Amino acid sequence: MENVLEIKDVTYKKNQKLILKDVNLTLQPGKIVALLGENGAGKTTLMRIISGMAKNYRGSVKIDGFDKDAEKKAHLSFTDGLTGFNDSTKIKAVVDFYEVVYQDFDKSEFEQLRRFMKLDLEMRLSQLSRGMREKLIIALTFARKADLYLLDEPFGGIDAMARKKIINSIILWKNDNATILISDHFVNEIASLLDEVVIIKDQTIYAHKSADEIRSNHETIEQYYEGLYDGDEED
Amino acid sequence: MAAFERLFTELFKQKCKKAHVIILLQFLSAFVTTVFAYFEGNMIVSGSERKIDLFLPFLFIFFFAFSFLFLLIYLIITSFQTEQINHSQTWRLAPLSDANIYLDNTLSSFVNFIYLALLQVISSIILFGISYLANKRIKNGWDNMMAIIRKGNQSNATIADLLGIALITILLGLLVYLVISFLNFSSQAIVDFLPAVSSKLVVTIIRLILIIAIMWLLTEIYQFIKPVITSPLSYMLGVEHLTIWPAVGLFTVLDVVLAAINMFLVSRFFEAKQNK
Repeated sequence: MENVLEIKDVTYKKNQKLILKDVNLTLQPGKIVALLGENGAGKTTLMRIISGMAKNYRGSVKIDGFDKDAEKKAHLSFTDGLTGFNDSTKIKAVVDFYEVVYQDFDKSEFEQLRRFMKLDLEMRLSQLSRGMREKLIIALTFARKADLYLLDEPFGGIDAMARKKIINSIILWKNDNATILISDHFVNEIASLLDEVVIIKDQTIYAHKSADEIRSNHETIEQYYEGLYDGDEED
Repeated sequence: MAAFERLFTELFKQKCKKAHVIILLQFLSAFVTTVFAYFEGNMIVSGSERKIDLFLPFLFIFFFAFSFLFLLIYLIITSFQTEQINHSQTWRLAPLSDANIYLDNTLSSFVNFIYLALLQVISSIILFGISYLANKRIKNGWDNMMAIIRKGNQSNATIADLLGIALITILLGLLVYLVISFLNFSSQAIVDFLPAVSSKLVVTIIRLILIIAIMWLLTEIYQFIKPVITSPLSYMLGVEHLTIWPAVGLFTVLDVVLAAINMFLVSRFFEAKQNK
């Protein structure tokens, strides 16, 4: 089966500062992959490069074999902060926007997710707490039938109880062949979902391992991840 | 193409609301000014004519007179909105190339600009029509003017010139959107290339300096290409249309060239703003 994501030799600089260097990454369909790294390691930048939001990088990015921006964007669903909308916009207007702009947006799927997240269509964006806004973003992202989901720290403001419910349900919301790349600080909470782990360190992909391989070494994913930084702290 | 149309419709819908607010504000401004003139101004009182008969004609005159000002306000407001959308990750994630999103965004602003101008023309015609029917002096004045025009046997040149002026206005409106986008894209691309500066104020000052430098450069280029485009057109079209049609040609070329440069810049260098 064709790789859902292929990144080859990507190097990205901004303001004369090297942010990512020689990044190579391949993801297969149907996987849930954690993208881990310290703050400022380049996780968000990598997701922005994949989604075509960051420009002027060297190297190539293909999604489902497509390398043109329009095709890539049609095959991925990226958690977006919805800052393109006025704060007075109602949730139902945001849903209308998604329905018009994205052909793969499934309104009935969104309805199910909305009920699950307990969101009211009549609410305005300004009335949403950070957690509710994040729930809306997750619902909108998964209501699209994409091949690659990019979730950039999606649970930061969501309370622990709801977070657990959402994490446990994620696997039900995606198609079998869809891949999820998720960056999050709650490594323990998402660990049970994961098929693979990708670590960004020293401006590049430092490690890319299957979750089973890590577990077979009698380590949790969090232990493995923290172990990568132990040496650094001693220095 | 379908995605292009869908995004255009969505953008047009959003910008349309602003056009409606502007036309409403224009009407309210004209109304308030007329009421003020009605109670305070002596100029309205004219012999034995009742003041009330002059209310509608003056409402029409003020509405018509405010048209240019409100069109300008709309142009400024939508220029900012267009740039916000160009920079917005929410819009840039739409499944189209960045160049097409930019085109959609600019064209929807521009078509809305024309839409507002049409609303102004239609509203002016309605207000004038009511004044014409309600006030005999307006009716007589208009009929006399039309008779003079008919007697004067206006040539085709006048109609052609009017068309030329309308075209120049349209092309200039488009040029405003294109120039603002060009300044935004080019200055941001240069700032992204320069070493990082922590202060937002310093970044703003750098961008302002860059914008002034780019504007100066644009003026120099304009001075250089103006005779290159207008001279052959003046020669081909003859003396009769000397002032208007070469300018139409010049603005068309400028619009096309700037649109192409902006499409290149937005595709290669101008990033969407990061948002979480």
